[in-house]
Amino acid sequence: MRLNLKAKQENTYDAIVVGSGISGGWAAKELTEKGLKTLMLERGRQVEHIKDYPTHSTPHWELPYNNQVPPEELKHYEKQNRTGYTIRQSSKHWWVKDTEHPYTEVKRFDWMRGYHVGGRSIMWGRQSYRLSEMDFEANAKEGIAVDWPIRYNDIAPWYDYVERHIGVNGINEGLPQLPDGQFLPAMEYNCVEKEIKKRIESKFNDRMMTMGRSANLTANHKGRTQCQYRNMCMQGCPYSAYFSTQSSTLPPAMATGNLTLRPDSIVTEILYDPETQKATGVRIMDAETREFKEYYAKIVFLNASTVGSTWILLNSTEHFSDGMGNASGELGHNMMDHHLGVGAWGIFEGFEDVYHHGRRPNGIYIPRFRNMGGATNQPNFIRGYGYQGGASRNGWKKSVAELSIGEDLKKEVNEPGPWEFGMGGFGEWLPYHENKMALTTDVLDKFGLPTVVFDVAAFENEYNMRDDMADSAAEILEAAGLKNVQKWKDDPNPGLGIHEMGTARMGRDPKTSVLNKWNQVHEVQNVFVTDGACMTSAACQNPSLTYMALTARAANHAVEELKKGNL
Amino acid sequence: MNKSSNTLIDRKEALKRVSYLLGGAISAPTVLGFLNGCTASTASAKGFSPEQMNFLGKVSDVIIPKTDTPGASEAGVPKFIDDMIFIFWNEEGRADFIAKMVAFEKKAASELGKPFTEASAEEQQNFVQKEHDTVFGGNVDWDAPRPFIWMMKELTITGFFSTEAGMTQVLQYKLVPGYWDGCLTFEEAGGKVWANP
Repeated sequence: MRLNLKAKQENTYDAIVVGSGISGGWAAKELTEKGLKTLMLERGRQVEHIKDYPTHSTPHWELPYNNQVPPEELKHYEKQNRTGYTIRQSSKHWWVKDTEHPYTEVKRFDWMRGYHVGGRSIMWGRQSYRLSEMDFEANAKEGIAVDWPIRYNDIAPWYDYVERHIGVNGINEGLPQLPDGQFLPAMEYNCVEKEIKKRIESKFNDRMMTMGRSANLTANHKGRTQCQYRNMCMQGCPYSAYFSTQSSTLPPAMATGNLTLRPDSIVTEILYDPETQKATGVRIMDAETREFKEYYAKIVFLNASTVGSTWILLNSTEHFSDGMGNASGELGHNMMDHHLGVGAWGIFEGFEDVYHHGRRPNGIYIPRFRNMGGATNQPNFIRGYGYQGGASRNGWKKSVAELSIGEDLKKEVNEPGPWEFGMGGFGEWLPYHENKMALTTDVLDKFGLPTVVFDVAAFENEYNMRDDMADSAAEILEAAGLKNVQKWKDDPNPGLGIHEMGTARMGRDPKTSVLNKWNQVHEVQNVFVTDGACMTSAACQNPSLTYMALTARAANHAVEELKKGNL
Repeated sequence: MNKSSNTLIDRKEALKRVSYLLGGAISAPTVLGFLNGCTASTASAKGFSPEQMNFLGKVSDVIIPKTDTPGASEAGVPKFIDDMIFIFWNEEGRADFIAKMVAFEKKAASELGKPFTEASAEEQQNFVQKEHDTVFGGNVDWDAPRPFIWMMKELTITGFFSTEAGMTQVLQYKLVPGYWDGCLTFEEAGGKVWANP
């Protein structure tokens, strides 16, 4: 008995954070800085900053096979390779093997993820935009799904707070649909983008172009070095020049002395005491030894990613037959992503002597211009989309057919090709109850654990919006004088935006939502979910910055409530 | 605004465009099986024989010769081709490549009166140039099965510009550019195309 008590004491913390990615790192930083002894559990392997980024400074020619992964090896990444840009020699180690971590697709669903300390904060696209008041109001105004339980003013100070810490570059434009922020100096347009911006803004009253807002440092910041314009971010940055858990949130959390990080720890369920109606901790499977262990705490933060956190709640069935926090029946439902793979491209004639130096890990942004009142309202879809893109001058002028062979080839490849400009849309996906994930024991992963079944689709609003995204992109480029303008429009494959959201949504009513306005599970108030699962609507902005702000806000609330004795 | 000029880009156009942008980085065999009776190969299951590697090196050196900068074989192109054909290409594409390679060798030997690899540099150059111009001299048929010279040209260019010599000596490359400038002249940027834009 004494031994058990001692063991329990050793496994007891003030707080447990499940997951070490973008939001988990923030939870750990905030909770430890406020004095809580915190255990961070990560299901994947340890990754130490820089030391464990095997290709962070590998030049292209040292990557085998022109950076391609052989077909035999690709068989392990059949789904992870659907992006077309992630399974390379330079970055394949950041993505799970589908053969080890299977899932089921009622309809195609591209679930892109890596299991390691830092999670997707290592591979993310770094675009950082605030949601606006119109995003938080939209569901209520239009009678879609449920109302967000917060408004822009609730989150604005937390956007300020996280932007100041992580370092986001950008330009304040004073737009209602894209709030200003606490920005480092913006990255520069190239000459062609400057000209195209001028032309777009002279031709359209409702559209403008701004520089992409990204979590890359344009100045030295909090002990981190500014961007060196290598554009090798996904290989890991030895300068700490972009935000990741390792570069930005883990160091201050560690410095408090309050953090214990335990990798290889797969949380299988949340422990619950029916008497107090609170969670008491979590059960984990050690990924190395396959042994189960229990850890205890006063509060639990779920930051295991949208699908991961939802999996844990759905799998916590000891006291909840349909999963913890699922009294509403909404847990696992309302899955959203951003739909992309639609846009336009063209040739820009001119600026033939202009070239560039460096590889800018950022592009231009055309903020939403649809359904913002008056003439911007559309007859056949609601909400909107933004475009991301840029002008570039890649490679040489001639095609493989046109190039000479012999000595002349070496000269011809040094004649740069034309300037091109391309942009692709990021569209808002509405929350539909029927878009869902569930667990199955028919297919088990390599640990013998239940796996996920996805049943997610796009509907009329998304398809109509996509038509407009392609047409408007071409219209903008033609108005800007580009030549040979061509549209593209792929299928809206859910998951491919790698912005899965919404499966444990926030709301005002426990009957129709999983989380309250502080990201607490309605029925188990000392469990907080602050990753993408909490999103009540998707908006069209890249969402990670919002997860960070909501996490910091929820952590602050959790500590206040603990102090008051309410948790 | 004339929207009819905007067409959804089709696959063929996309392939062509990729070949513009990346200088022919279409390394997957786009050819369909098109065997012309030649099945013989001295290649093992794992790779080309030393003789075949020598032959591929000589052909690639006509496509990208050594000048004041290294040529294809010195930069490592034959090894790259060997890897692509035997590790990346499927059985069908591999058989097609080998059959066409054997036919190319035979045709060269009959026209030159000796094996291609034993011909003088000038003879090799003239033969490859003639084959090249037959395919690329007039209207190029992007839909036709790829002839050997087409595949070799793509593989040589793709391989060469993924090597250190191709990227740093013929083109230019900076692992750590240090700063971004999107408005300087081509000369100010070094007067060469970036290998890795």
